[in-house]
Amino acid sequence: MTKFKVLNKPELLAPAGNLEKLKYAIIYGADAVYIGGRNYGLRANNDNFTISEIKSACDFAHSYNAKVYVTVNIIFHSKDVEGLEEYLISLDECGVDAIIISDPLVLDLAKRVIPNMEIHISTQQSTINYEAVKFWQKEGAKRIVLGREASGNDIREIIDKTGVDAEVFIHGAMCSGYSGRCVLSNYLTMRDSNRGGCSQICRWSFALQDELKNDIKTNVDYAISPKDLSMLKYIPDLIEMGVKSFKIEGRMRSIYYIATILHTYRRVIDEYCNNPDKYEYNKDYEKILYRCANRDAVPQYFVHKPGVEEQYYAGRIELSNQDFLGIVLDYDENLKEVIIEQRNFFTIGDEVEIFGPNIDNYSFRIEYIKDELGKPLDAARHPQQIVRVPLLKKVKKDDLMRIKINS
Amino acid sequence: MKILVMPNNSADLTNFKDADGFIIGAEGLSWLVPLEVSISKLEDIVSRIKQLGKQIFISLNKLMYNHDIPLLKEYLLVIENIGVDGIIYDDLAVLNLVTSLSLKTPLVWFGIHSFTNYYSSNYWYKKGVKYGLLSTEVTLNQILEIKKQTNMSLVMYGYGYLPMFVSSRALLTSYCEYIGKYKEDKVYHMYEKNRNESYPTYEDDNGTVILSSHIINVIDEMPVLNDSIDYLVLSSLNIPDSDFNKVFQYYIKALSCINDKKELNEISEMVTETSPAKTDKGFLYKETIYRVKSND
Repeated sequence: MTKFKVLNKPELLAPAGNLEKLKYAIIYGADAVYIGGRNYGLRANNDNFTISEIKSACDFAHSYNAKVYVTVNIIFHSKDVEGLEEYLISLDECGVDAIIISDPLVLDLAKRVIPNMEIHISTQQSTINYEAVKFWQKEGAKRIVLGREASGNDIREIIDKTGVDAEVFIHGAMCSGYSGRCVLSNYLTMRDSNRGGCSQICRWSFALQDELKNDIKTNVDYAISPKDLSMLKYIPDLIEMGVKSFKIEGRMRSIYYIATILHTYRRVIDEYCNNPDKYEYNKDYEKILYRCANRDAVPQYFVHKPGVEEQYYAGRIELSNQDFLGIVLDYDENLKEVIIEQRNFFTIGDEVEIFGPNIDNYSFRIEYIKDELGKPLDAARHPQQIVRVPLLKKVKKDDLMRIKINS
Repeated sequence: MKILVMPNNSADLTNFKDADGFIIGAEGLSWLVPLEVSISKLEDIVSRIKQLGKQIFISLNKLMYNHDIPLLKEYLLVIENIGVDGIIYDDLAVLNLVTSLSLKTPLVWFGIHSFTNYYSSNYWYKKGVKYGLLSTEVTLNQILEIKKQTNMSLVMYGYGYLPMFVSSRALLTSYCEYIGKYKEDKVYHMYEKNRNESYPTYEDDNGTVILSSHIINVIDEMPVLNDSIDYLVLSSLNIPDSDFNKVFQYYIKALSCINDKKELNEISEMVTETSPAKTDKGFLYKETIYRVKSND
């Protein structure tokens, strides 16, 4: 039986914490990126973008036919509103493609001062039903980022009943509670979660006490931390449902993380859309994604309500990632050597692979290492050290080298 | 300033004969409300409250899934028919349905973590929303400023544990399953050792709720709030009836001597002594921060 014919390939939407990450996200396959300005976004302690950087981001993204969305999704206190109108006008002048909002005051103001700007409703609104979607549609919102609590059936029904331009998270960290309805951070650390100060209390360890506040005896700390989200297996289902945008979480993540996740999901989406009938799930991608984050990732709410298997308790290991070995700076065709900027230790004899937006993963063994001047080395030991490694295959600037993951 | 009570049960409503009204939840469509009634019993309780001459607000304040929408419609039509003073909502499905069905029942925005500025309240007011429950994370000064700039009637938590977290996950069940223990149908506590604080935690059909470790008590602020707040909510959530009934009487007494600071101080101390946990002022005098490093 012929499967659904893919008429509209969904957008792959990537996080970008700064201009460098944005460039990698786009090079590695993002159709759009979302970023935060210096104010009004929910990652107040990230680098974030100045107005001139937002302009640069738009210029760069548009040159690749990609879009830039800016988060303006805090829940405002009255004094925070100062400067917002000028800021929105600046975003419009930069060429931003859409703003992502949560507080309706931004919607109201944007409709007045930048009437042509596309409005996306943030996941902070926790929109998980079709009637709420209809409300936002009537208010002029172009897109709704659905709450992560929506199941596959919920998403399908919402799209069927509203025709909404739906954006759905497909990968990354999860909040334990409903977005916008958790103020643990405010109470425990005085940092306002709904204004970008979340101190991630749901990642902490606690003890559980009974009704009378007696400790429940166990050697496992009480925790409310969920595993990460991964929709890798369900990308075809989401495409068939008509989800318009696939969102990846992680504006504070590294270049390697962004490149790896984008590269993997780009392939899955393209493989399915290019030939749905012949599409086969590639389990190797799971390992790549896992190694990249060192956290378990599961489909969370998509198939069933999360239970014990979707939560983290004792034994969670979050090692710093050592897989990422270096960034390709150039390729010397005369010497058949790749010039690498080191990110983690590697040595002669290591089995590695290079991946990039325009090449299939290419595996090889490191036969020798030389420094910039051609002096032989036994290993690349220093961060950002420039080294040369022999490679017959031509690779390109911004391709990445990592430990060989799949055999 | 009127007093609204969230009672624990429907049997002893006459204990609150000095209240101005009640907040009652709807089975399947509410959270953070101690008393929920089924659709078949709604008319009866509304009738009893009306006989007491009190106002009644029905809380349909949980976030709704698609499968909740038919029940929501049913409740909205029943409520419209029997007539109440307001419907408390968070999910915009309620606002959308009330508008599209041309219902006349007034709406109360459950802005418990989002009513933090007057611009948004004015936005909702223009959409026909008459009342708003203030965020528990705003300061007293911010409340006074909001009052000056909005036409919305203001509702505020005046007593009770404050909601900090709602999740659709069964977090207690999952943990108990992990450690091989049976999860009982009762309130547990999440204990944080560095703060030495225990946060009441319970599970229901909606998921998991975590409450503040302290109980808010605003007796001392009542003279100031009296001019700004239209409804002060006293919540019995997780508070024994005997304690709550006494506290309720203290609040009524406070209203009767609202300009007597010394008397109010004494009443406030009695509220503290009666309460099952430490009391505090929530965020009334503490402004949260959100940027811990400069990005200029």
